[in-house]
Amino acid sequence: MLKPNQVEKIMRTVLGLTAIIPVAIMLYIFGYLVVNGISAINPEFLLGFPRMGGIEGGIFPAIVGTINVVVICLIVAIPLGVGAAIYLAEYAPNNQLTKTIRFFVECLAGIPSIIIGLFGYIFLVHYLKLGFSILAGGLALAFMVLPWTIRASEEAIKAIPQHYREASFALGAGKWQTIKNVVLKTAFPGICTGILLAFGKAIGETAVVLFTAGMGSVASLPTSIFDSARTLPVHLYIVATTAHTTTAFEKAYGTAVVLLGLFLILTLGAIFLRNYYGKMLRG
Amino acid sequence: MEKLSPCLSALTWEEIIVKTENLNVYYGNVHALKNVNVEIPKNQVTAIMGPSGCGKTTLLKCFNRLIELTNGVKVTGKIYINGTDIYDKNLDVSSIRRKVGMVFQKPNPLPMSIYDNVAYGLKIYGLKDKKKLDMIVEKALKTVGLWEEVKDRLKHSALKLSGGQQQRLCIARVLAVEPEILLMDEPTSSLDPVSTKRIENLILKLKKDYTIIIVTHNVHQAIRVADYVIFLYMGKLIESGAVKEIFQKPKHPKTQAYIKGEFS
Repeated sequence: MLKPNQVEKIMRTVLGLTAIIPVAIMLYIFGYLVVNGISAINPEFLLGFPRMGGIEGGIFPAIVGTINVVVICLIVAIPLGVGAAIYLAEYAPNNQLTKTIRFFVECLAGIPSIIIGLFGYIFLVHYLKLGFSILAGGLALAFMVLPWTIRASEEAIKAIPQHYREASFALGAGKWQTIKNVVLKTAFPGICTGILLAFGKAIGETAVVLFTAGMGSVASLPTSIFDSARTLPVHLYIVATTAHTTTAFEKAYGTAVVLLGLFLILTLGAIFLRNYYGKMLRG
Repeated sequence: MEKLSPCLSALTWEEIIVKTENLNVYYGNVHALKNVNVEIPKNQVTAIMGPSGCGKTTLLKCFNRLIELTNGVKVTGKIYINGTDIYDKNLDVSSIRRKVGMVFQKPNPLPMSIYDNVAYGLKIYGLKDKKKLDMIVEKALKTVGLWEEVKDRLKHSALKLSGGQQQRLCIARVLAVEPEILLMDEPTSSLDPVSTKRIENLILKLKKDYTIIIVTHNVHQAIRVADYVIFLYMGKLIESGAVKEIFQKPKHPKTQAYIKGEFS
């Protein structure tokens, strides 16, 4: 039989190892991509047009396409998400209706992205006749990140101590005045953190945009939001699944490094804001 | 004012500013205040005393209707301030809170600059004139004796001030909107003795212009600052009257025991 303190030691070691695994996976993915893809990255790659289906040339249209689609997504998702979060955190009574709304928000967050993509394809592309377009892609992406925006904003709003609200109410401020002048102002960095993380999810999403923004043109840039556009993950998917040569794979890895770099910048920004936020609330 | 019937022997109607009639407060199933009838004199300091959980803060929060922020609370009965029933459905709650300011147990400056904290109430009421704002902010900070300490850093965060300074700032913030009544919920319980002394002196100075209602569980503080005392026990009014009467010859055995320190 093992002694209690031996059990302690063993469990500590085993649990410690499980905690190291995510770090190892992340470092491996990041290291592997950088080692294999960094050589592809140069000004011509970032600012050039793809040739021969992307196995030669650059990824500029995909960068532009990603930015276009994600900007539409944020323009739609931020007001809707923050608005719903304010309602849920500040106004919603603690009743069955509110619980139902929350349940649907949770469900929407859990829907597989391919199904959101399918819905976007049927509803936006065909029914609303938007076609494969930046607009359809942005809207579908907004549906996907909306629950995350709501949840993150609601948490940021709920983290504002009640005594701030009391101070404002006690001075005669109304509910909306208190929300606008105290709650939102204080929760702003927290809400931004949530939005940056949603942004990170949006730029990496493949299935949804493949179904709605389409594959885009690789020879020219989109001229309006009704044009189809290729995003970085879609470009990566196309290049990686059609490539058979070393240089083609190098292009795919290069694209992955750019995508991962964008994602890291957004995540670091979110972490920075979160720390700033905590410090501000502590005074 | 016909309805008012002074039960504090020494008070006449003109001297009363707040009066409650059969005030009951329920938190869900908990009956927190039971048929409380009290009268509070104008331009005096009234201390609400009693052991923890007796309903002191609940009673205080009824006077500016801040109690309504609590989930599942129910208030019955009436509270008259200057003869007006503040629970009248047609009354705008903001106008009551503007007249009845409140200072909290834990200093709660808003996460903004010192200046913006004091100007907050005024801006809420729509005052935009920068000169006027500057003037009122300065006056309020001078009244609480904070001006000299902060005049060079009005734009700094109020959260950087010490606890005692924060509490004086919170008082200045209330004074800036010129209330008639000042509610104070154990305003010194989180402060050191020096800061406590400053706040107590401030209370004595402010009572000539304001009616002050202070919750305290410190008998000595009540003796130092209060003119009248309301003693609550388990949500019921046990005794009320001039501070000398209550402390020298308390009528009720519960009051006697509390003053002697037999429970707190």
